[in-house]
Amino acid sequence: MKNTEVLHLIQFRNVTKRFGSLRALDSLSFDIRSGESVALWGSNGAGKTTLIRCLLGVTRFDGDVLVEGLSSKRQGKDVRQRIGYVPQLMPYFDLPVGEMVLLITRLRGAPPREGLELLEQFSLAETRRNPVRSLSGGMRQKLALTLALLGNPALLVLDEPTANLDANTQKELLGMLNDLKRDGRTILFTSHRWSEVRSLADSVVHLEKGRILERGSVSDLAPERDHVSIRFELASDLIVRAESALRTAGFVPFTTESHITVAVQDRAKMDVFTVLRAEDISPRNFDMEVDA
Amino acid sequence: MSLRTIATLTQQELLDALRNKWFVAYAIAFVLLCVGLAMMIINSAGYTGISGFGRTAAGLINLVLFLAPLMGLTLGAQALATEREQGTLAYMLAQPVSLGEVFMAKFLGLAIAMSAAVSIGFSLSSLAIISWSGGTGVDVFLRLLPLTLLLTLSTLSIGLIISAQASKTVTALGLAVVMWLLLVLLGSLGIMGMSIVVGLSPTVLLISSIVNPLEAFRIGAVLQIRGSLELLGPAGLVARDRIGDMTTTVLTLVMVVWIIGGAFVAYLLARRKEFQ
Repeated sequence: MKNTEVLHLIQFRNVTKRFGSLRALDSLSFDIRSGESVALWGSNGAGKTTLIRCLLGVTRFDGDVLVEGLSSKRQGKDVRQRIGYVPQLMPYFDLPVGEMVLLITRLRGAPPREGLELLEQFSLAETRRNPVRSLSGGMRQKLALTLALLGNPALLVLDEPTANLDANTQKELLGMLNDLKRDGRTILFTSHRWSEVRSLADSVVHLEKGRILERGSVSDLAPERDHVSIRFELASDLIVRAESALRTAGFVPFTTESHITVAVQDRAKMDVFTVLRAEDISPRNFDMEVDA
Repeated sequence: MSLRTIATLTQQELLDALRNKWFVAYAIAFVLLCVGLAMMIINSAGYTGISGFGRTAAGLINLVLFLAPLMGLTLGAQALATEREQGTLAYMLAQPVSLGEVFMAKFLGLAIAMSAAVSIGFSLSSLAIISWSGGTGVDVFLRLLPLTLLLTLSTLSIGLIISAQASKTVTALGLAVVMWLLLVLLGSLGIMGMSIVVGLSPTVLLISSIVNPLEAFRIGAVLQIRGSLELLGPAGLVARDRIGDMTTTVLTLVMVVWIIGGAFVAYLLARRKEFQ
């Protein structure tokens, strides 16, 4: 293994992904150093999740991604052995938490006791007999993080890890991730929320429409960023209409099944409400986060 | 492929099957109906002798033809589609496993679980017959067991082909039921109709029949129980004429090709869909 490969834990090399005529990723090249925490920042459809799928080697693409010198295209299993993955929302598995931990422990070749210790560490030991699907969203994300740490992988990859969580659970999970960062863990995560990027990342790769718009340290890019994230809870049949109205008004909304998050500058926050009111859309609830 | 990974995933598939209400319902129905037929064998042997036994044997063939494909097709069809819909398949593929290992484990886990359900149904029925009537008729169950297992696994592979293409469980289940109807009803009726309209030669008619795993089972089962195919009328006579002593071997091969070939096609389709 070359020295540069050790220094650069991940190397994205001309990564291009096409869906028919659409270029979801367009010749992306950048490196991530060992111990670095990097945010992939951008709106819906920017290509963040697709890039993570390329890194995991679970989709076809042109170019290559190297993790510790191993190609995710040709040595996918070995690459995934080095990655702990946390999805946007831990899926609804029917099996109990304890069985899930045991399964992933075996697949990752981790010591049998490690799973139990991590469950204790993340206050999940009490849920061992409960089916994964019965856990709350926050508990499921904590479980996803527990599973991602099994086998002590070199790299932690998180896809919008707090997108579906309430403000308190977001803070709790970010606290855990910051502890892992302080321990020297390499972290790559996607986010559409600047507060999360500021809290966890050393550097930022700003993606839009499959291209890198800018790359730099958080402190370099921070002054240009928006300062308030407003998260609306809406009836599911209103999500598409609200997203369309906000886009038309020039905002960059991030949507999930029941929520829309918009990052705005502090002075413009009332404009978001005005847009929704003009469309006769009444949120069920909202919370606001200031990136101070 | 790592055998240790496949073993770990297969073990998990077996545990999942026990939690699957569809599988449990099929297994209980199969066992109860088999034991019910065993009771009929015991009663008919006492009152009507060998003719009653013949009717019950036909009943067993029809039970297997009805239930085993339905179990194989619907459970196979759900296997990947449900996991794809729930996001569990994508999560598992983000672990240090390959799609080939996941697919192999899914096939093996379902195959073992369904084979166990069929074997338990046949075994309990055989035990009931042995303990209550001294064993008259038990040979029917024992002779049909291998063919029943082959039919179950053939339809499992066809179900997996459906599952490899479907993104939603409800679509997969709908397609599985349509396929079941095609194989059970329209397969034989369609070929009969087509042979009248187009005027198929006896050989083409025979080949068209036995490529359907259900027909292969039906012919094989009659041959196993009666020792001849005259019961099937002209179709049986054509089979005896064209294939002769090799009939059982050919029918077994047809089902083995469905099992291995079907599973391989399902894997290729799943690979194309997952790695888009």
